[in-house]
Amino acid sequence: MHYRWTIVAALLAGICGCGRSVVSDPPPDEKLANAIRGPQSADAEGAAEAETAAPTATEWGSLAGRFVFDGQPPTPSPLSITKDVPVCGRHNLVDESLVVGPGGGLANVVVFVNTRNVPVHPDYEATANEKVMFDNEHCRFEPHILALRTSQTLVVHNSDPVSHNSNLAPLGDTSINPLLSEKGAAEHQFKRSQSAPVPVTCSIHPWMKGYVFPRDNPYVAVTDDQGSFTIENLPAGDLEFQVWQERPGPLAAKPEWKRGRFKFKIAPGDNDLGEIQVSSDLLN
Amino acid sequence: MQTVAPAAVGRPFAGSLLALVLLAGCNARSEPPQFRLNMQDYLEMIPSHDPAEFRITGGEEPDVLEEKQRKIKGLEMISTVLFAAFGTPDDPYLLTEVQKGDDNENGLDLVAIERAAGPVRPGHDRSSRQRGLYRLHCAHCHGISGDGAGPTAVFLNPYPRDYRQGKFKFKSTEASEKPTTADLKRIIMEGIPGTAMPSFALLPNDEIDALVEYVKYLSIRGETELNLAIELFAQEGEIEPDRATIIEYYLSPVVDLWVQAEDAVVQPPERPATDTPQQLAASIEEGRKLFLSKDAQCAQCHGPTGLGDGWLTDKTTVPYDDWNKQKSPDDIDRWLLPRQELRPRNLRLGIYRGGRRPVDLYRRIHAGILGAQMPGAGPAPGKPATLTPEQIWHLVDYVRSLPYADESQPKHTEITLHKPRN
Repeated sequence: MHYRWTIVAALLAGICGCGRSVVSDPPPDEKLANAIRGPQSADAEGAAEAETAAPTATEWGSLAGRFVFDGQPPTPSPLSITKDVPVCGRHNLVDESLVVGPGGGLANVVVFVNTRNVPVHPDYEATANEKVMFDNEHCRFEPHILALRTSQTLVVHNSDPVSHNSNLAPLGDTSINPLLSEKGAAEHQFKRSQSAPVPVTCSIHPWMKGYVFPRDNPYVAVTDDQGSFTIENLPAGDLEFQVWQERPGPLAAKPEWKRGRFKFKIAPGDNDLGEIQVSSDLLN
Repeated sequence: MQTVAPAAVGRPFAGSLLALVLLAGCNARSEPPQFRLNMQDYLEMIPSHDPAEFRITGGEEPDVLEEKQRKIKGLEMISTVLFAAFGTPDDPYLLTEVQKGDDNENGLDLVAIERAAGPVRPGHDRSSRQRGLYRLHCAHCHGISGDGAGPTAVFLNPYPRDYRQGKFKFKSTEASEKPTTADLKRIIMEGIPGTAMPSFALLPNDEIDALVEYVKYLSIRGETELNLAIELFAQEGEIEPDRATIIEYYLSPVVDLWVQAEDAVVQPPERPATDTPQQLAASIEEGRKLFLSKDAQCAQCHGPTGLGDGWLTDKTTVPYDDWNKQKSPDDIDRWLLPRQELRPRNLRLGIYRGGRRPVDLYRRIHAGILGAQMPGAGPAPGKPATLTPEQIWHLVDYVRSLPYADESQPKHTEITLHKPRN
């Protein structure tokens, strides 16, 4: 009996002693790896180029909705302006991570289509290669959250009489951090669609924070100060949407919206998600 | 219920012997080291940031279980693809498409990589030369996987570079570009003043070249891994385990960036004449005005006197670099290395991490520091210059004058011995 316990203890010591972490990485599937290594494909370009044709749809609908802050609307907390006070100190800047409009509407909620390879309505073609401006104005970013398509060009602009820099490091894409003097601008093309808005900061004025959200489709909306949004010309049918807010990230405004996602069948014409109450607990 | 301790007293010998054998076994047959998956960055890609999403604990709802299984299969896929394309730390491998050869001069040099890889044993590569150079000189700080988290890393400030994001701070190229081969070689030769990175100038030239190639190999491997993970975890897509697809979508885009960096070196135009003391003094004075100006904004971080204390006027936001800023203090347990703050350089010490030559300082101001907070003031594609080359040269002259200014010299104080010697 005693002896058995000692063996157990010794075994445990032996197992734990080797310092392997509890969860180890999965080993490679060597058979599959060998298949990948395999003989070099004669026409490597051609094999991967067999792209599927762009998906199309014939019926289109819009989705509208309104996010409402459920609780006592918070008083926006003033930011401490410690740099370039003569310029930045006169704009009564406040923390914009939670903006509740006069009617209780929750602003700056991002709603976007999460389904991949969605058909895009031809009306969006006209703006597909537009330049979209993200401005440094009054020592804050305007707009606070900018959504754009990867086919569009981001123009980071500075309207202030002091220099700003806009530091953004999108996942798996080129980082930029241009210094912009008054009226200065930098253009940038994203190479990759992101799955969440990318933070933009200014090293010189550390209170400044905004977001840029490059997507490979135009189906993104940011709620206005009424909390309202509309996404126009969605392909009719089942789509998955993702809801995002700066503080929690994915916003599970309803219990069934796991990780902030919901499925919705877009009917041709107008669709209304109605009013969505967002508990203040989710935003603290 | 018996406890373990009295039992051990009862029959100590057999148990102790067994324990000894088991413990000794760990050293006697140590397994070859493996590359570790970059779980920290994968977690950044999933909305919940929750490690439990990669583990089946039992009792999950069917849809949750399915999602977890998808993620776990994703880990296996990444492991398999990386093994197929890069091999193991002891036995590196390269697909011929990215391998240096007669028809591919831009590829990675597998012979050099094999020399730097492997265990530290003499005479084990094809030409009986020393192998294991990376493990001998680099791995204790930079880690087997190039994750900058070797056993020594936690004691260092700044931390060793994690190569896997493909970002390097001190380089000669334009803002967003990779470093050149020559840049990496220079860092290994000269070290990085003010950090724990020493000079390896005493190594033979061919060994340094092998290490440079191995750093590129680890970095390209790390970025390929991130590309695979973004597809699987951020975009929630799938990966076709097919050689051509993997090369075209996940590997070549990374290799191409390294190739294009060789042509992206910042070549400053000739500096304005500073041959006479008067010319130099005038340039320094121009630089001083710029340093304090609202155009260059240097003083906001480096401080009006260049002591690196400008950021202290705003203590609400602590600066971090890209390797540290995503580490949330709430879930610090999952980071191997605790979050480390970033500091603007004290310009009066005369210690410059990216090199002390005028051209090094010029490139720092022109391109900024990738992954850090320092922005680039020079022109870039799609961006006109914020500061002209001439202005940047004035700033270089001013910054270079700071360590030699009277105020920068140590104060003379009388030293008195309180205890007289016998």
